[in-house]
Amino acid sequence: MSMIKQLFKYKLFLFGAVLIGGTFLASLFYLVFFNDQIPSSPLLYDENGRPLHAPYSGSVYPPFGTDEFGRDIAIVMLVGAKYTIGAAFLISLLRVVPAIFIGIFMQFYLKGIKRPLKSIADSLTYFPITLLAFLLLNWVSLRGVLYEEGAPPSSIQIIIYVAVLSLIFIPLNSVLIANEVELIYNKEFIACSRTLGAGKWRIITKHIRPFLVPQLWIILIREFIQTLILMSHLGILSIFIGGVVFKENLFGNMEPVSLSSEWAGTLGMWWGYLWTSYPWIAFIPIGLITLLILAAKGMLDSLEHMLATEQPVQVERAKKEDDASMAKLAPFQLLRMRDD
Amino acid sequence: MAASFDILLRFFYVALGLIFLSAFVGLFTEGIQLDGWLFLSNIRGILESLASPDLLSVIGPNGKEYTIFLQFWDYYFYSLAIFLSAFLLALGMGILLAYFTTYLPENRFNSVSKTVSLLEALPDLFIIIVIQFGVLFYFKQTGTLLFPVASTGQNKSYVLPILALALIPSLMVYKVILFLVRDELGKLYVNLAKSKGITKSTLFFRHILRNITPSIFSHSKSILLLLLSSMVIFEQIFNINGIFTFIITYPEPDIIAFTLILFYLPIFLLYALLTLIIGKTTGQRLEW
Repeated sequence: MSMIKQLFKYKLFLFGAVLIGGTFLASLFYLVFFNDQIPSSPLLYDENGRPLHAPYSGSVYPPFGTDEFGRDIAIVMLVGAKYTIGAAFLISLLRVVPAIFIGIFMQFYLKGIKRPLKSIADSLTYFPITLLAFLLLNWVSLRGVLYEEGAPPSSIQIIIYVAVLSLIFIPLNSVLIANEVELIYNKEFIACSRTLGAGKWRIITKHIRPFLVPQLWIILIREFIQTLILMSHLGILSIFIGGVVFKENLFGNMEPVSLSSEWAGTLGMWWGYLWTSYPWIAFIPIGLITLLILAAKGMLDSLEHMLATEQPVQVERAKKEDDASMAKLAPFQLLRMRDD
Repeated sequence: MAASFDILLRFFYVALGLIFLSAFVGLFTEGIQLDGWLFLSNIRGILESLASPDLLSVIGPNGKEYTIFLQFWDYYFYSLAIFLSAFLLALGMGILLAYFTTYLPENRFNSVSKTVSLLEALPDLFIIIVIQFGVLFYFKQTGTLLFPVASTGQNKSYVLPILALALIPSLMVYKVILFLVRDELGKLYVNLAKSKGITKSTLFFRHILRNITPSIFSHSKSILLLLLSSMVIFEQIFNINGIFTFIITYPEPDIIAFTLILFYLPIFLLYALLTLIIGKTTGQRLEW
């Protein structure tokens, strides 16, 4: 408890937590009370009474304007927020929690396979993660829809998306956590405790846990940031959470459209606007994702800073002799008292 | 001898991992088929095509089979040039930036490191969009195109992708070096060097940098990871005809494995060479 209390003293942490939590709650609120209705703007006219064509800019239709279908961008973003944050959080949880058990198990029972496993996990470094995730999801979400050959329904697609993005990271994280456990295990007090007869279970739950848990928080937030980046990459490659539909856009081309309007998907969808005369539309989703990532990074930095400066055990300082009473003494009084 | 055998073994492990992963990807090319036999036959196919790469072929847009080597080397060297120059540029920029800020007073140093730590988290897509829009905006205002924003068939764009790709990794390198140097500055030999009147730049480049090289080296792998992942997206956005675009166009297990192992080869050689050089000149064994 005290850890969280201390953390909230950091302005950056507070800012990050409030931003992420607030956005998520606001988006959830909109789902519960307005059922995710995205208002479409009516046809708007300029001052001469001539109709303007969508997308409208922010000055005509505040605050962010509309997209090419006349949907209010601010509301689209608000609706997508909960899917973005929720999916990223869920994926990072699924990356870390199983890895804890596998990592500890590996460290205590399968020490022999750690080195070969690490080398094989090494090869993941040279297989770009974005490419791997794209290749694994390509058929399921994009090409399957394109050729309409038994593409699984939306809910299954979400499950596959989350599973792929979390499972490919579990080996790396397991090795990482096993290394972390090894570092703690090599501390002196653990050897001491083992000579006193502590079993593995006691060492894990009583001695390793207090050191491991803060590290796990750090890993979790880091994974959250990485997941967001990976999701935005997949968005550029037209792989969206919750599936794709094809709609005709402004230029009469068939464009993939994200069903859930989550940020990473809209980012990929709207990237092309950069080359049109509506470049601000391309900036909105990437700007929001950047903000989200910076908020998480702020939390991460505060957490790391706190752990680096924190005193593990609060030692009560010895009380200093009262300076005032000392001042009253005449020079060399203490010595003279001894002589008397 | 044992050390060089270790290095070779490492190449073998990574290649093996890449083959496994490619064979695994092969299970997802037509729906999801979690089938052990298909996995094994994929591995066999990959091994066969690695043994005789001349037989690697793709189905062209007109339905005919072509050998991949019509354009492959073109793609390959283009990607490699961008990747390696971005990697070296990131290292160089990181080191230079660190040199300029190392000797700042304590409070300025802290604020710099805090800012860098936040900036380093910026997603690469954000950097790309700002740079692309900046160049476009400048073009609209003045009519001169600073750099080609995207490649075309004949006209390859180098400067912009390399700069954009190197920007975030260089901040990462910078931050790592900054902290390593701060640790190093507290050591006794630095005091001795200072008292002998060695200039700051000599101290930094000759002594400190040399001592922190192994640590930089061990951090450089996470930079490679970041660069590779960004490369995939950069090729898409800058319209670069590189190997990752090639893989995305022809996602066959044997082509994926062949291309990635071939792409790993120069990285591996660079690392092996660096290990050798650093081992000879500083006497420190590198762990990677």
